[in-house]
Amino acid sequence: MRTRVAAIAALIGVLGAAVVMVGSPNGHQISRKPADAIIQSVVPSADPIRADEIVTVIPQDAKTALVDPGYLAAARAPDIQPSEEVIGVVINGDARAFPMATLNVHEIVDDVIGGQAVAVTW
Amino acid sequence: MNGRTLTFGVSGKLIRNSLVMYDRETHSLWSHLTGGAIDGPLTGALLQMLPATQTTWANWLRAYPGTKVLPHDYPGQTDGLRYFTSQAAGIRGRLHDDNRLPAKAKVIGVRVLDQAKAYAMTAIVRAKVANDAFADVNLVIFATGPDSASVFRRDLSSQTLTFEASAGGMITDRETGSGWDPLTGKAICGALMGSSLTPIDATTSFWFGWFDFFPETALYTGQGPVTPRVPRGRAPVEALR
Repeated sequence: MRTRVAAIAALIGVLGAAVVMVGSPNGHQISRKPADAIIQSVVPSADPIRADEIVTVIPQDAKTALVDPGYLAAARAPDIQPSEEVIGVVINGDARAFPMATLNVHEIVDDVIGGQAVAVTW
Repeated sequence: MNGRTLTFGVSGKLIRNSLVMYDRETHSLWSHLTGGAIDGPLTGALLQMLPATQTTWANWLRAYPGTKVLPHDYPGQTDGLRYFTSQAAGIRGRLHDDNRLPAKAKVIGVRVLDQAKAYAMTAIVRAKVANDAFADVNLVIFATGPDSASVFRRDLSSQTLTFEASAGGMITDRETGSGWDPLTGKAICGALMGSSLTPIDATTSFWFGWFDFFPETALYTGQGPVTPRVPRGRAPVEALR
């Protein structure tokens, strides 16, 4: 991923993740633990994450997630280049494309697509 | 989540060099790679991951002409390519190291039950298609562009399909000769025309990032066969996440 300014580059991290997530009512476990305790092993085969692995690199909301943004019809988007990388999502026939260039700045898009509340992130 | 819709923002934090989100409703922290809450009141909760496709705008538009698109912030905006092309792997140190691929090699990663597997993007793009059987699930990985791929189950009803790329670039299945769109997973001609493969949620990542989260991951590099070995029609959809 991506970028120019040092502080922002820090957030960039690792992953071009084509990921869409939606809230689901499973897997709840609420508890408090010491900083070095394993706080997540809910993901199979993942190396358990410890609280002291979470590091702050820029202030919260220094990069602004988009909430319910406006979209363009494809015919009205001449600025999107044919070779540009996008993340594409289709839910219940509702197709949306998210240019990496825009995601790179905002990281997260909160929206409802095809009736489903989702966060698009990468 | 439990009847409540969460709204996610950028926490400014990283976990193993990848994005940590927070939700504005409870201020819990979430890993965007795993979809799991890692701190705060919802710790341990898990978001459901949905399939998404990475490809070029031209290919997406061809597959979904009615698509809407998120605009650029300003005309001519490009993604910051410097991090992609630099050798620097991560902002913070890496937890694990592995030399099977360069740290910044792109992979597409899949998780089935308690197992993880990554496919080297260069190998997929070179071959255009790879048939695999992983964790009792028959998978196919298609290239969707010069640096992107998609993953589907290759079981259709009770039939397991084996895909190949013809000289002209068309994806066909060996069993029926039908032609397939690698982006949508739909048969576009032949006996199976109109059929759809089931997409599998997969994560595009740098190798070092995937490996830091899933150090026991299997890896396909294009060396050696990707051998189908699962009996047809097994592996319920529920096995995937």
